[in-house]
Amino acid sequence: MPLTERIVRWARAKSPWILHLNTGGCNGCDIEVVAALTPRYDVERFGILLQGSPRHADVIVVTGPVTVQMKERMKRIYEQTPEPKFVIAVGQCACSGGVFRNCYSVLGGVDTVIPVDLYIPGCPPKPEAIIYGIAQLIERISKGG
Amino acid sequence: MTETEPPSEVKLLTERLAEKLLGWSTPRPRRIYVKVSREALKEAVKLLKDEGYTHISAVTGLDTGSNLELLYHLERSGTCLTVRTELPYEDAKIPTITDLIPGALLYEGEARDLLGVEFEGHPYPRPVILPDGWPEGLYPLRKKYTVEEIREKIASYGAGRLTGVVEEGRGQLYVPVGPQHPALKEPIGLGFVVEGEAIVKVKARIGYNHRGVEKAMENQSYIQNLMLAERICGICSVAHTQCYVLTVETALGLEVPERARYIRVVMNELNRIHSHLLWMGVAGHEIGFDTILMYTWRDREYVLDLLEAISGNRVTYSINIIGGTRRDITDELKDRILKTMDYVEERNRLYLDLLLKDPSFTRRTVGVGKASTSDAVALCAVGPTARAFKVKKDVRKDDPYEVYGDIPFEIVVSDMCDVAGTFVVRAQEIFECINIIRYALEHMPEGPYRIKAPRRVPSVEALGRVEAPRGELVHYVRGNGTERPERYKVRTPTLANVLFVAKMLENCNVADIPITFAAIDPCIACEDRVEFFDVSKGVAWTWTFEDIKAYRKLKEKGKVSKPLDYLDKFGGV
Repeated sequence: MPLTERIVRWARAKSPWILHLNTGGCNGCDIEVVAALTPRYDVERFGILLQGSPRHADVIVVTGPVTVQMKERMKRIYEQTPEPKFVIAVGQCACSGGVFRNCYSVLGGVDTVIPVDLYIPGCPPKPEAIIYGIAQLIERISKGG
Repeated sequence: MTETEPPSEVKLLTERLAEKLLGWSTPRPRRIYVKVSREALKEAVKLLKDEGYTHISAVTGLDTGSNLELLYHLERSGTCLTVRTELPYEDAKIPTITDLIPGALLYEGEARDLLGVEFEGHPYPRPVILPDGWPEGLYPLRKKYTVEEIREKIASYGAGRLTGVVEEGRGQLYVPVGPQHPALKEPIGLGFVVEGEAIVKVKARIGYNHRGVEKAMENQSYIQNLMLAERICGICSVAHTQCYVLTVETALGLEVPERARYIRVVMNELNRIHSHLLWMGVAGHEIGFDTILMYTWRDREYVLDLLEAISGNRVTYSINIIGGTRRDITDELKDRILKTMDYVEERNRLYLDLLLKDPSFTRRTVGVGKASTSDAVALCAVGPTARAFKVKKDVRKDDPYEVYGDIPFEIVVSDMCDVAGTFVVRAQEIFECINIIRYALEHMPEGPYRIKAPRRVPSVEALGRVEAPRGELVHYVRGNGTERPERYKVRTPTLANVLFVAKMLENCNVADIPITFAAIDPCIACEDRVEFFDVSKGVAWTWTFEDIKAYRKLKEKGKVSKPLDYLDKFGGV
């Protein structure tokens, strides 16, 4: 592997910047994602930083089932994120639609609209589970994505 | 019908409406149901408003299978008076009551879009809730449509426009915010037309979180719905299940063991503490004071530890079940809770002290988002938001549920009437919560904490009200003798506060948008569940600054008395 690519991989694995996107969830996963950023869990120690714009992000963290209204917006956000990009589906709803699968305005899990790299199940997953998922993703990034 | 003496409100209505009053009942204390003919509805609401029923909790619309029914849940110091009227399918028209009670605007709009009831004279002639492009005549809550049919019909729906169409005037700039944006974790589209620093127009588009929970509830059993109710909102999850079990138990006429009631109160208050601490952190974050976010969220973890120790979960506790609670609070847990409460009390004292003295906080909040008490009353604001504007309203006190009637506590009210006031109210409420928990733990009786509940709910209706961390939460159930509800209605506190926050934003600068909006502790997951699809033009109605100035001038001259008069004459954006 050329040196430049090794440097790029190293840098990527050390600073996965995330964008948090709620596509129709109940807020439960969202507060757990934020809790993972706050002092007790502190994912910032892995170089993870919450970003406001998809253009600055490497990883899109999606919570919630996809609602009809949110579908196009989510596609657009996915397209705005620069390559290489990773999508994490946090929570049961983002994985499969969860308890909301019987609602008329819910399309299902995130993978019905955009490709997903990592699923973190749970309703909501504990911050430890989210950290475990992120650690797996980092491992994958360091191997070349 | 009960044999008892009719209450004074019913006597008044009988006297004034004569044969147009079709019936009344008082199935339980503080609940009055009256049925009026369609023509008399507005007159009835007007009479009741003069009697002090100025607050509207919700407008429930339902499809009975043979016609449409509308229920206006009016409230006066804890007593809920429901005015019921029936409309035929083919001529579903009724005059609006928004000129009497402006706070009914969104509730009426919701009923119109979901059930196809036309409110004559409603300030929004266009669709309020459903998006442009929603199939004509597809009213999701009408019984003739199944979930599958609705899905089929909206399959081709292209999700509307991606950006709002707002005309910029000379020297003005349109700033779109959202639906994905760094300020809140949930999707909401806000559009601001600004002139320099000042906001000229506000335009909110919510509905990104709309799932259609109410319709789904009609197709699931009461036990399944408990899980769904909990997931309406992940932050006030105890409040939603509390309101759900309260409503269903009322419909069943079930007496829950005393111990379960105390456990529920403890869970409710722990939930409130964690929610208020969470809000404090978010509020700090909105003004760039991230240290507060980190501090309060760290302390919040201790409260979550307690909730986890009691229920086994950090966020969705599933503690309330129909007939009691799922788990007990042991003596060991009691000590642990009391110990943590001491710690939280000490920390909260620090936050209250620190932030009220810290100029970097006070300068961003004192005097920001000013509005008057009369606005808060007219627009039917609820919860800590209303209490920060001198409205002394708390369901726990006014309409006590579980054992709140036996527990001494104060309603925290602030007269600051601004964003700082909402902070003071929430911080001081945490002290009250801690005292309630201490009292409840001390007075908790021994005994069982759950009983077996029937699975079928008879053909009765019940209205449950609960003070959620964000304000008055209303659930309404209509049973039909089966395991599934005929209609389940939820009105969340954020929806009630949306109109009011629009008022608060009217005089703000751009930099104050996040904190002012955050002041109501918005919970989009809650709000959008109410089939909120797309409010395409403005939070309620929006005015330009010119409108506001013109309105003030007219008001001084006495030509208009309320914002809606102005709206009728000159319109809004």
